[in-house]
Amino acid sequence: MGIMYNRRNFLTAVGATALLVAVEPLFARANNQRTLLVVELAGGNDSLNTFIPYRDPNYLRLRPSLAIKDGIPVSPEVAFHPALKDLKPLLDQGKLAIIQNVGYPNFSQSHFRAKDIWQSGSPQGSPDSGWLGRYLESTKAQAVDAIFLGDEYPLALMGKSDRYLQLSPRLASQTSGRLGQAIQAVYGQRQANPLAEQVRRRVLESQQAIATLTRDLKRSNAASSYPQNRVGQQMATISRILRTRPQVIYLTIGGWDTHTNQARRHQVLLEQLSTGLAALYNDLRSQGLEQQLLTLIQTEFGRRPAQNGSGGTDHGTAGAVVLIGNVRGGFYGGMPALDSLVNGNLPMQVDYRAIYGEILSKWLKADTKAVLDQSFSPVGFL
Amino acid sequence: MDTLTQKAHFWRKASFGATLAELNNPSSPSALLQTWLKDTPSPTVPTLSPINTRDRQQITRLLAQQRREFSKWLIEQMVAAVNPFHEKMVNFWRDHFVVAIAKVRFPLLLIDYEQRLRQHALGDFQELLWQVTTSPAMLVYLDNLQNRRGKINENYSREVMELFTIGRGNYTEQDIQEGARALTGWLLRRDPSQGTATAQFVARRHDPTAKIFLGKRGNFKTADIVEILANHPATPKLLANKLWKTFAYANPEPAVIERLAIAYHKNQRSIGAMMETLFNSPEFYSAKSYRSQLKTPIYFMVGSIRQLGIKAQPERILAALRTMGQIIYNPPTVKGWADDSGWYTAPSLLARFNLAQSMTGKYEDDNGFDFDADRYSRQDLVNLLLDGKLDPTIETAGRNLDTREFAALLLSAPIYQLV
Repeated sequence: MGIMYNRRNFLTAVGATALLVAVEPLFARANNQRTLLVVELAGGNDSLNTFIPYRDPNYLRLRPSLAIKDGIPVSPEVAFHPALKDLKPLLDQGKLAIIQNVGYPNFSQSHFRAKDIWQSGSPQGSPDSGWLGRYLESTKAQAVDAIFLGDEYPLALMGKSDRYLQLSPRLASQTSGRLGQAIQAVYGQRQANPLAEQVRRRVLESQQAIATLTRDLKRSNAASSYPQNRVGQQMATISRILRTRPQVIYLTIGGWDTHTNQARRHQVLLEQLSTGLAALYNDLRSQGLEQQLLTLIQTEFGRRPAQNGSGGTDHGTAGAVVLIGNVRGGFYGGMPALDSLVNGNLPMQVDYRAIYGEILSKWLKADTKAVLDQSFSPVGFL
Repeated sequence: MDTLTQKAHFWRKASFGATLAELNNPSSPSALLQTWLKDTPSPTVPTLSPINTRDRQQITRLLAQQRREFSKWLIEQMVAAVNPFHEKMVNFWRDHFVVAIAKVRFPLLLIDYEQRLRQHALGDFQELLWQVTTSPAMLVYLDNLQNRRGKINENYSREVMELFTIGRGNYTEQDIQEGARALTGWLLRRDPSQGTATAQFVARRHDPTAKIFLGKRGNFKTADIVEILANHPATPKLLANKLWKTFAYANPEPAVIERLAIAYHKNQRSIGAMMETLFNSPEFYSAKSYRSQLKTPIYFMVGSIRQLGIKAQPERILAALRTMGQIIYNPPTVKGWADDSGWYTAPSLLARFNLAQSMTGKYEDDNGFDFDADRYSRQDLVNLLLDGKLDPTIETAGRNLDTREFAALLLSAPIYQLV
């Protein structure tokens, strides 16, 4: 098949190509290269219905119709949402750390502001600099060292230099023949206009990555034991990407802004997430690769403890962060203080930057201060 | 800028790029603008297949069909617009007052929404804001339908201030809560046989008690919130910033913002007056403004097709937009599409080469595009697509190409990707 596609199979190839990444490890890179997988639950996950304070009478009081009553008790105080049952084995094996009451001073309940604050790693937010972008720059990373899966390129990966790879199911391949050669010749020439030069460089880098993808497309077969839903397929992709040993993989999963009809929507979201992650970690274990990956699951805010008037919850403040991998498993950050809400919202106990800081210093072996401007006392999950 | 460059620049920013006839048209940019500003096109809306069934599966199928018909209509409006500036403004508002079809579900509600945006695109912003706020599409999309007395839902109250009018830093969480109470009272009366709905104010759903909103006290209703926000000094600044970013360049100088805001204040919140000021500003023709942004996928497709007079099947354009990652009325968040810098991605850029080749092909290729290459000389193409400036690399690379291939090469060139 090569790089050339005729028009008819072009569009079908576009769908598949992007989902397949190098099957064989790139041995050029260190075999013990660690990878951080960030899963962002965009929209604001309802932590209280994820990790349920099932013995707290205030929980039932605040959520007369939305409380989860058939959770899976995992500690004297916390029950998992039933849709998280596939994650329970990871907790039992000590590979799951759950940090509750995570936030920052002066909460923003705006999606965009809150996302900026989390992704920039600064409580002031930033228009153009993300915490992972700064970390990657400190390691002199190249475009292939971080990979984003999703539609809207995240601030977290933005830095002074160019962007990192984006894998969405809509990647294309370049044209070939006489015209293709002419295009390549034009793209071989530096551009005077800086934006045109940015176009040129992004095209060249992407073409190189796609050449690798296309090679692997032939070799790998699509049969996998991953769930057939969207998140499951993204996890299968991540498993392949991991073999190229990137430093960071960033996955955005949308749909968590459950103002209405929360019970059903949240159930589906959590189930896709937990079955997808369980499949990924089973896969990694069978390949002996599970030591290579640390997964960080975050969301821009938790939701209001009291349910709203339309079977949902409005934007809240402190929420839960989850880590999976070679961690000290268990619960951190204390229980949500449902008896002492501030303006109807949960007070925070753990600064989100303390979590980033611990990941930077203990997992990525980076200079925390250079990325976050200050150091924080570790939470203790690593 | 020489005259050709200046003209091409204006057409690129105010429209989707000039056609050969437009580039050779002797009218000055300001004369053209006057004509466009005086004209409010109201195109015939499509008649969608009615939904006269209660069968759920049937409804799903019919909605999908309506959605296709609606999307085709949208694309046809952009490609065929006689007043392309108006079309660009409608596109701007679509991206400002975001609603998504996934949540709104019924394309007829979006047709209603389109008519509101089109009617008021260049008029009084207060009227536009009212039309948007009370549209069934927006009431559904940002949950204000769910917002009623005793069952407050803050979603619209927050976004109308944060994204649509005054912007962050100008309101408190308290204002959001009070605003939400004022915005209560709306209900949709649906006509299931037609698939349409009308918004109705129902007093018993409204919270009639006093509110304090942005420092003002009163028994506010939706119209009061709209009036307060449209007349707040921060609103024209937010709009000016976004308009300048869209039609000229990002991060405009404070003087520019001030100039546009004054036009808003002096002309009863007229968007048309702001746009006239924008295009008559010397900064609009400055070097900073020239080829200053990446074309979005929609712009790349619609612009190429319009500039070269390509005949295109709407479905083919829609498929191209899917490939590049921009589906109309399906933005990633309530904030709309990322600004142009969000399109420096592999899908958005690499797909353009194949599309350039397809668009400049012949109809019998069965590729959904038809380009009449005989109408253009090489110099025409260079004038049209590169403002008459052919750099030596492109000249050398294109030497052995035929006219179709040469056109495709220009459509693929890095500089052509910029508006």
